Amino acid sequence: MSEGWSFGGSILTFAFPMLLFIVVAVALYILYTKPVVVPGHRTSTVEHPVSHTAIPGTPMVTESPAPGPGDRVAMDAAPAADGENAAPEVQE
Amino acid sequence: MKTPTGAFPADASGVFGPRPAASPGGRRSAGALARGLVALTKPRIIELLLVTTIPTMLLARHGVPSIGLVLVTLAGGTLAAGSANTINCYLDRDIDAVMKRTARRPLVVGGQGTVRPAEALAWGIALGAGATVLLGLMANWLAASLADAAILFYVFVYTLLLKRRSPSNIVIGGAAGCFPVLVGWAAVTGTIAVPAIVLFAVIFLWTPPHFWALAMKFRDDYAAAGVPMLPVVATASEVTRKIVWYSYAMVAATLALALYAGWIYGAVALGLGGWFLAEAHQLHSTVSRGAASRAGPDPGPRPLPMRLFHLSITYLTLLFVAVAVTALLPWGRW
Repeated sequence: MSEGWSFGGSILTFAFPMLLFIVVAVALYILYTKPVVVPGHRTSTVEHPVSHTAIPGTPMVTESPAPGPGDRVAMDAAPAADGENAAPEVQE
Repeated sequence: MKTPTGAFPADASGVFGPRPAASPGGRRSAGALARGLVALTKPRIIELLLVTTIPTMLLARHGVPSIGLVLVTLAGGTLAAGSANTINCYLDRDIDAVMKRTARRPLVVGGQGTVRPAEALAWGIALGAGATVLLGLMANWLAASLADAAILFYVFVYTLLLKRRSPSNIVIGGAAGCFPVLVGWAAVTGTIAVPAIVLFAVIFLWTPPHFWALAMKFRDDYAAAGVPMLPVVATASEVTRKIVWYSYAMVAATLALALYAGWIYGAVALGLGGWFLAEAHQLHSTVSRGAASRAGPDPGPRPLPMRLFHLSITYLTLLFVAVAVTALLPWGRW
C-alpha cells in the first residue's frame, strides 16, 4: 500500500468509474431522451378527456360519442404539455 | 480466487452446491422454503431501492401518477431487484459461507440452508421474467428493458466480473442500484430525461461512501473471502479520502438536480449535503489522525464507519423525500 498504489488506485477507483459513468450517461441521453427513438414508445393518451362547458349562445354541435383509444384526431385535439399535466400512462 | 461454483462439487443430480439442511425426517416445510426464498431476495436492500423509485415518478410527472402505474412499477422493481439479489446469492454462496455477515443466508450450509442452489437459480430467473412481463405489459417496454439491464449488470458485471477481481467493484457495479430511478422515470414518461440521469448520478456517487463504510467495518470478512474491496487493499485513510471525494461529487450532483426540482429542494439538498460532508470529513480526519499516530503495517483504526453507513441511508431517504415533496408543491420552482 504505497503512494504508487494510491495514484493507481485513484485512477482505478475514482477517475475510471467517473469516466465510465459519463460515457453511460451520454449514451442514455442520446439513445432514450427522444420519444421517437425509444423502442415501443407510445404517445401519452388522455385517460379522462377534459370536458368543457358550452358558452351560452354558442351553437351546440350534435353530440358525438367519446373518443375511442384509436381516435387520433380526438387525441391530438387535447395535447398535453411535454411531461407535464399529461394523463397517467398506464398502458394495458 | 474461487470460481462461483468451484467450492461445491456437482452432486449426483448435477446440481452444484451444498445439500440444504433438512428438518427431521428429511423434508423441508413449505414455510421454511418460502422464508428462504424471500430471504434470498434481500428485502431490506429492495426497500431502499424502492425509496428512490416513487419520488422519481412524482418528479417525472410533477404530480401524482396513477396509483396503478406506481404499484406496477414498484412490483416490477421489487421482482427485478429480487431476481438480481437471488442470482447474486446463488453465485456468491461459496464466499457467503466464509463471511460472518452472510453466513446465515439460505444457501449457506451451517446457516439456514433451506434452499437448494438449483431452486435459488430457478427462483431468480423466474423473478426476472416476472419483472419483465409485468413492466413490459403494464408500464412500457423501456422500463422493462432497463429493469432487465439492471439484473444483467448486477449479475454479470458486478458479481461475475468485478466483485472478486477489482477494488472498483462496488463503484462500477453499484450502477445496478441506480437503475430503479431510470425505471421509475421511464414508466411515467416513456423516455429518459436529464433529471433522471442526474438522479442516476446521485445514487451512483452515493454508493461508494455507503458501501465502503460498511466494508471498513467488515474488512476482515472480505479479506477472508478474498474479495478485494477497497478497505481490504488500501489503507483506511486512503479509503476515507476516496469517501470524501465521492461525497463531494455526490453533493454536487444533488445540487445539479435543483435546476429541475426547484429552490426548496436545492436548499434541503444543500443542508443534507453539508451534514453528509461533515460526517465524511470527520471520519477521514479521525482515521488519518489515528494512522499518523501509529507505526507499523497496521492499516490504521477503523472508527465510526458504521455511523457514516447509517447516516448515508438516512441521507438518501431524506433527499428523496425532499424530491417527492417538492415535486408535489405548486410553488418552489425557479
